[in-house]
Formats: sequence, structure tokens, C-alpha cells
Amino acid sequence: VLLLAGAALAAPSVDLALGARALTRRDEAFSPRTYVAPAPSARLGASVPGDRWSHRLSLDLAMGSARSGPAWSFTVDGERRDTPPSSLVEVSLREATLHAVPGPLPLQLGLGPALDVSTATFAFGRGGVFTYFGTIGLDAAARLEVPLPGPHRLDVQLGAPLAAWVARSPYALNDDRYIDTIAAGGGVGAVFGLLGRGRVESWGTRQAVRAGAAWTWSRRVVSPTASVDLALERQLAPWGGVLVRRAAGVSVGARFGGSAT
Amino acid sequence: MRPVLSALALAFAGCAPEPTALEVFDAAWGAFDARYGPFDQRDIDWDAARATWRPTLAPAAGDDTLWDTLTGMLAELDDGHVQLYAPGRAHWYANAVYRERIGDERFDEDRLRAAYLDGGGEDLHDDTVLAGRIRGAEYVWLRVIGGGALELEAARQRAERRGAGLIVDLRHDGGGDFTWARAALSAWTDRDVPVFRSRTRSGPVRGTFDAWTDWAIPGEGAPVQVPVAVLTDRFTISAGERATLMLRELPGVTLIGEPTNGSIATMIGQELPNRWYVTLPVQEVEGPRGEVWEGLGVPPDLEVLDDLATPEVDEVLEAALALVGG
Repeated sequence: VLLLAGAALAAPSVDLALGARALTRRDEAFSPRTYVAPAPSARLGASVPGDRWSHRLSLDLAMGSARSGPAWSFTVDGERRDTPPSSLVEVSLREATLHAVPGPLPLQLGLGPALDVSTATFAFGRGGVFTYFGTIGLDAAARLEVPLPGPHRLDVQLGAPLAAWVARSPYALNDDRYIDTIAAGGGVGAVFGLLGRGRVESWGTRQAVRAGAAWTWSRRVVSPTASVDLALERQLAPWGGVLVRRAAGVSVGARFGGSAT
Repeated sequence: MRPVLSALALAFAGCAPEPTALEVFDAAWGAFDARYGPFDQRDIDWDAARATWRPTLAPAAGDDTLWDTLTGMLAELDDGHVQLYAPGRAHWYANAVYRERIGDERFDEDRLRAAYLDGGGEDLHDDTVLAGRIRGAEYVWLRVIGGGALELEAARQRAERRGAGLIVDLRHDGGGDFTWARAALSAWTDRDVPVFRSRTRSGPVRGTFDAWTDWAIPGEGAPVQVPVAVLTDRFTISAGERATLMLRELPGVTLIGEPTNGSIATMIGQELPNRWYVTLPVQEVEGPRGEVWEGLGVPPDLEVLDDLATPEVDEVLEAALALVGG
């Protein structure tokens, strides 16, 4: 989710926000069903305005327990067990460099690198299977500042990927290369090993869009903020399996620095 | 707050209609058709299985009939990695040995602790490992293959310091992550030792696999200087069998007991449209010389079966002690 701060601020600012999201994931590599997770979320952002160009940086985290329906129980050697929840984790890091578009609207357009990593550990009975989806690419971004009375500001933003390196769990999830990558517990190197196994994709196989709106009560030092955001993504694997991610969230926080215009 | 979020999340996800029994059957058959690895190695005619079982199921059949049909079809695989979970039912194995616990009583942990291990042994690594001494020999039982496999090297060092033999018990080993065994056994050789090769389903068309991957124990240590006995039974499964395949390639190692289960390939889980779960292996695995043990089990060098007529004696362990000098 893009951080909504920008060129209208006269000085750099930092944003902190906490909130909640509804995450959903359907990955046909594991199930035809949609998994849903209510997830706490956190956002850290920074904004550096400029005369011609402004820069925004944001880091978003969300994680929660997911199910595709109500829990049920089964027995193992006569002992009753409940189906454990699956887990969803989503991390995104993105930068946008924006430029004001001449015209009657306070509109900015820009580009920037984006890194998104999401994992789903799907639980089944006594076991579980780890899946991942990571993208590193170039996003297009748009930001519109809607005028409000007094010190209030409303920013609306849209974003979408142009092209990205896309790494997704292999067809059979636990193939030899995957096993070798995470051998004996894996580690930090395993993350890069998994992300390194992918291909370049654009809108032909991966469609995604992000939208958000943020209200700010601009104060001199600390400005309260509140925002809503929505993200939709669909990716088609070479073998025909679809992965669908959706997220909708609300958050409240504070902006430090900057100044009202 | 959390219930509200959950309700919102569910509303966001939308609702799907409940599938019919026939739709679930087709999804289950299709999941195996698309991802099951060892059809050929187990000589399975999956189309024939569908032709046999699908007509027995009415589209609107209830869960009991669906369960009977699915378990009937999956039992044809007799595969320890094939399991079925459904609400209110006992976890089900397609493999007859595991499902009916055939020969389960031949391995007796209580007897092992009471009659053999000095002081009953020591439980390690969250009780996944039992280690100790038996008549002077070092003994390690791996219940599963995980981080506890690293105890193998510790036991080897103790054995070598005392000039004693070493017994690695893999009976009833329930599997896990074989790369832990590979990491542990890298200390047992100074040269790379090829141990098996595997290939994984890479597409939904039956018979589609990626290239073979040759697995070897990296030679990062020194050969073991004491005799090693490895014990296996029909409940040694999955990563336990891969560990067996590794150990059998090392010099000075003797396999004793029964053949392993024969369910070697790595497995995954799949959720069916009605939220039942199935598990299935997605690979073919061969020995380093092209041997196929899937469905057969890794054979021991010395076949010994525990005699139920002498419940106080563990004949397999006795054979190992005789070999390593206990």
C-alpha cells in the first residue's frame, strides 16, 4: 500500500500507522477454496517532497491465522484433534517517485520499485505445507490530493505493477530444488534462494491493483491520520493454476514532520 | 473487534456453493492424477481405479458413501503417504501396514527402555530422540527425522572414544525432513556419497516430471571407525527411509530387521472442495544405481523378525548387538 504523503508537504515526514486487514488467498496449488485471515497490520513510511519530484517510501506488514471455513475435528489413535489454522504473512516494501501533472487537478504520476513477499502455510490434518509468492518489479503510481476545508487533507492513490520478477511455489510445492533450498532448516539464504526462482511477468499473467485513501489533520509537528486501502491480485502459473490475493484494511496513525500547506 | 474483522473478512471472501459428492470424488481423483508421483513405480492404473469407483457414487451421495468410495479407491495405492482426513472420522491411511498396524507389536518401546537401555535411556530433542547405552554399545533411536538427527554424530563420537559399536534404530521412524539426516551424515564421510535420486511432478499431465536430482551426502567429515547397525521395520517411512538409503551407502553399516515401508517420495497435502484433506507423494525416488524401492521397501542386509513368542527379547536388537559387539 502506498504511503499517502507527498509533494504538498514542505518538509520530509515520517508516518507510523497500525490497523487491521482482511487478507484472503486462494492458491490452486493447494486448494480450490479461499482462505480468509483477519490480520493486524503495521505501516512505516517516509516522504521527501521536492520542487519537481517527490519520493515516498513505505513498508507494510500484516499477518494472521486463516481458514477456509469453520474448524472441524478428527481423531488420531482415538485422540480428538482440531484442524489447526493456516497462516498468512504479507510484507511489502515500495518506493515511488512522483511528478506533478500540469492541469487543474493536483495530480501526481510516477514510478517506483516494489517488493512484495507473501507466504501461506496451509495446514492439513497433522501436517502443513509452506507456499510463497514474491514479486520484485516496477510499479506505476498515481496520487490525487482532494481539497478539504481548513487543515484537513485527503489523498487518493492508485498503483499497479508494470512488470516484475515473480517467484511462486513450484507446481508440486515440495520439489527437489525447493527441498535443497530449505535444507536442514534453511535460513536467510533460503529466502533469496526461493525468490531467485521465478520469471519476468507483466499483465498477461499477473494482474494487480492497489487503491487507498488517507485523511490527515495537518498539524505543525504531529498530524493524526486515518486511511483505508484495498488490494487485488491474480496470477496465473505456467501450469494453469491461479493464485488470487485480496486485502482490505483500515488504519490509524500519526505523521511526524512535514507542515501544512 | 476480532469477530467483527472475521465477519468482514468472510464477507470479503464470498461464499461458494457446497460441492456434490461426485464433484468431490472428481476433485480427489484429479488431485492424484495431476500430482501423484509413483504411479508407474507402484504399477497403478489410475484410469481403471476411476472406472471402478466413480460409478458406485451417486451425485448426491452423503458423506458416509463418499468416504467409503474415496477410501476404497485410495486403498488401491497402498501408499503410506496417502492419507485422508474428514470431520469426525479417524485419520485414515491408504497403506495397510499403517492402517491396520500390521506387526506394530514387534517393536516395543517399553521393553527397549526397561530391558535394554541403561537407566531407560535419555529423551532428547523434544522427545524425538532416545539415546543411551545397551551392553556397552551406543544406541540412538530417531522417532522422526529432524534436528534430532544431529545426535547421530554425537553418538558416533561417544562410540569411537570408547571403541564401542553403534546402533541407529529407525524402527517406527515416522519421517520428517531428510535433509537433516544428510546434514548429520556429512560428518560420517570424507567424500561425497551418492545416495538416491528423485524427480518431481512438474505438470498436470500424468508422467510429467522435472529432471532427476542426484542427492549425495557431502563429504565433510571422516569415516566412522566403529561398526554400525541400522534397524528398520515396516513402519520406517518417508524421510526415515531416505535416511536408511543414506546409511546403507556408507561403509561399515549393516541394515538389520524388516524392509522399510516403501513410501519414500516426498508428500504434500491438498484440500478438497468439501474441506476434506488428502495427502499424496509427488515424486519418484530411485537408489543411486536405479533401484526402485517405492512400494517394496528398502531391504535389510540381515532380515530379522521379532519373535512374538518371546516378548521379553527384542530379536532385532539382539542381532544388532551381536554384530556391533554389545
